[in-house]
Amino acid sequence: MKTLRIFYHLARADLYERVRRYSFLIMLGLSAFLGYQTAIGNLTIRLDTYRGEFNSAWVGSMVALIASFFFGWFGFYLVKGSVMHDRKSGVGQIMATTPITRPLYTFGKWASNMAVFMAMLLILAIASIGIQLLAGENTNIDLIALFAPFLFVTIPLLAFVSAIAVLFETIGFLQGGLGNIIYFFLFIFIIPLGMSLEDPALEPLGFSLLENSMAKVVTAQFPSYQGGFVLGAAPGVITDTFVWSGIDWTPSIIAARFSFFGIGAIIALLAALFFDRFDPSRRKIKIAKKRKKDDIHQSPSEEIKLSEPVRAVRLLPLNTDVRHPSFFPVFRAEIKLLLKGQRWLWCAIAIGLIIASLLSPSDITRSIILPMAWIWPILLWSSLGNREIRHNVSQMVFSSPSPVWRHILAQWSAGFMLAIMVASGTILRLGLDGDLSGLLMLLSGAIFIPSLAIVSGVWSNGSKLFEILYVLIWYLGPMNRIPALDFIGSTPESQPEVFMLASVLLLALAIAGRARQVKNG
Amino acid sequence: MNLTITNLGKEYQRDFWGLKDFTLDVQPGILGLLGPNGAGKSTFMRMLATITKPTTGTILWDNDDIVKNPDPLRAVLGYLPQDFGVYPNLNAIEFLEYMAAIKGLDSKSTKKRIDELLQVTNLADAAKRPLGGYSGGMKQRVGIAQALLNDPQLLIVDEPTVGLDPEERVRFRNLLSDLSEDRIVILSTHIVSDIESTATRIVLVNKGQLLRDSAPENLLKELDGKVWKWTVPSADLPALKHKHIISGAVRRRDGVELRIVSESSPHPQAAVADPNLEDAYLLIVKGEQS
Repeated sequence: MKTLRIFYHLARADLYERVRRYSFLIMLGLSAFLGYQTAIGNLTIRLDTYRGEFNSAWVGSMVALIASFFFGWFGFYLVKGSVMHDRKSGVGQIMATTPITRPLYTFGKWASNMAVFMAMLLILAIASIGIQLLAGENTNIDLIALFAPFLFVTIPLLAFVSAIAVLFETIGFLQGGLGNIIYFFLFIFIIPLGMSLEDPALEPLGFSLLENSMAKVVTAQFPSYQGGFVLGAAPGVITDTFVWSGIDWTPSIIAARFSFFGIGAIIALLAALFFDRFDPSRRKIKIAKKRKKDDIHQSPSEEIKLSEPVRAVRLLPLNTDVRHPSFFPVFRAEIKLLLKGQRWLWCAIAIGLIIASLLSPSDITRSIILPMAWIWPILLWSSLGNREIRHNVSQMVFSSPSPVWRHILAQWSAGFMLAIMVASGTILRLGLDGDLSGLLMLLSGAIFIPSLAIVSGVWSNGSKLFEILYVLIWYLGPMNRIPALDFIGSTPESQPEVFMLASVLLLALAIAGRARQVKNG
Repeated sequence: MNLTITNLGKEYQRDFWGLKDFTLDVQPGILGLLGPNGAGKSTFMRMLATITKPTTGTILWDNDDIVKNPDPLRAVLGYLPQDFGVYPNLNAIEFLEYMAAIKGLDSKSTKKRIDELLQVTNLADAAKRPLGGYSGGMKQRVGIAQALLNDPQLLIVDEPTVGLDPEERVRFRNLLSDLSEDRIVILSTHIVSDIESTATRIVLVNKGQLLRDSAPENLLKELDGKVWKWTVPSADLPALKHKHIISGAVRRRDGVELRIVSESSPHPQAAVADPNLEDAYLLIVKGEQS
């Protein structure tokens, strides 16, 4: 009973803390946006050139699958951060002194993550009624057919994702940007893997389960149907519609779907194993080791100095004019700060990519090696524009001369230099080939990356937004050759001038954002 | 060098003022800000440090309006916030080099200045360790060093001795006294002894209002004959706490020796004591609250 009470209050307090934050409004806004996009037909499901009649089963399944896809992928980033919040706010230190156990804490966070998802899902579930009525093809609202896909498809998936978010937060190297990037690719790879499972109900997203059922109806009605299932912004001609009355939710299907709650519970338990219970000594092992090593070479000055009498201390006057501070020292300091703390392996891989891009043929360099070289420093770029707030240095920086223009431009220039540095092999390669248009495209990319990083950092006060946005653009543009997003120029249709113009706008927005931060203190 | 503050106010929400009608003219020396939690001290300091924009009033630095044009002040400002962080992967030298660049120092002056500051703040031996491994007191000393990087003419320090051990506190107080000869130092703290030993002028703040602006000796003069020492049985203490302003209590063999701030003698056995700033603070702030 006592355990349940602790669990309830832990999850409740965490939920209250989150729903009262600005970011929760963004989450609800995202849900409303998805609902709206579905209602106007921008997001939909089709099987080749066929789609279902807008009855309760079809609309419920369509919206539930859209929610599974978007909340499952991007919702992870929205719910992740709760443990970190406890750590940063200092509440974690207080919690650590209470009898709360590690599993209870991770289960509480798991429940709280799910509750946040439920709030978002509720908006979509209600919106689905409106979508069906708006379509007007079948106005008979069957609540069970409408909501069952949410209950049996989306909610189990979100329980699974909620637990993964807790797990990522408790494992040191997955807590930050690296974890965000790993999850992005994990999700991409999990979809095809899941679809190859024998029991479609066990595929986490629920795509196979619903697709198989829909495909049976289409095949029966349209024998020419050769397969094909599209979810999302799906341009294409719809040649015909079919009536699909939904899935027969048998106990075995329901059990299979609800097994994700069990998997989630196991993951939450696993997270408890990794959870350090806010014990800083477990996080500072590396620092302590380094300190010990340093101490071999340095005298234990603290103790000796403390036993000395208090000396009179004087500072000499500084004969330098700082009324017109120059740009270059700040730029140099920003470069240093950006690269500081990188391990030798990071540098070795960056150098390897530079050499590989120089030695490879131009087309391989542009289509494979340059994208790799420009994803490698993502965690460095993602610190631009937000590290002052993140490390609580902002008051000192913002009270220095020219905190807006000089500082933002210095940060941007450092980010640009980093892009040029890791692309230096490609620049040489393109130069040797006399590929001026390639060089221009590369330049536009090198301008675009720090601009996107800095505007995301300044306006979100964190690194997550850039990490998600950039990976998404990088994956769709350079990797999947969507010209509108290809800032690297791996497709002939890429438009460098668009990215240059966008960069100028982004930089202007970043400057406006920093001016706002400085003004608001 | 002159800092003129006229009718300064900050309204956070409708009819909720963090600071109101604050008027001061500050010359070189140490101005000590005293007040309870939430009195408006940090709001005042953040406005002086050009971080927070005032809702009303003006702040003139050598006749330049720093609200409209903050850069002239920023060039000669040293600010130690109450709550600040550091970049954990940098060591003290690298962090100070970074802050020096931000503050516009040239590289030649920077190196010499950082060496000096590391000596002054007693961090020289730990200067090459990552800041992430520093104790709270060591981080505070890094904060003090960054505030002094540009040899500021206006030094604003908010709770600077938090986390410092007694020896470091004395060292820092001496440093402040030394610095204040030819610059303005504004010091906010809860530790009255820090102000007592350094401030040339004291400003008492409560609920966003300026209660008193005075030299320490004048404040103490106000209390002549109003501070009493009286030893009472321990059991009487709870009742007396409700009746009088008690600024100190020390256990003795024959009971508890109380230090009472009162216009008149609390008891025939009570003897007049020498007033200190803590007594003055309690009398003025509690008097305002009651």
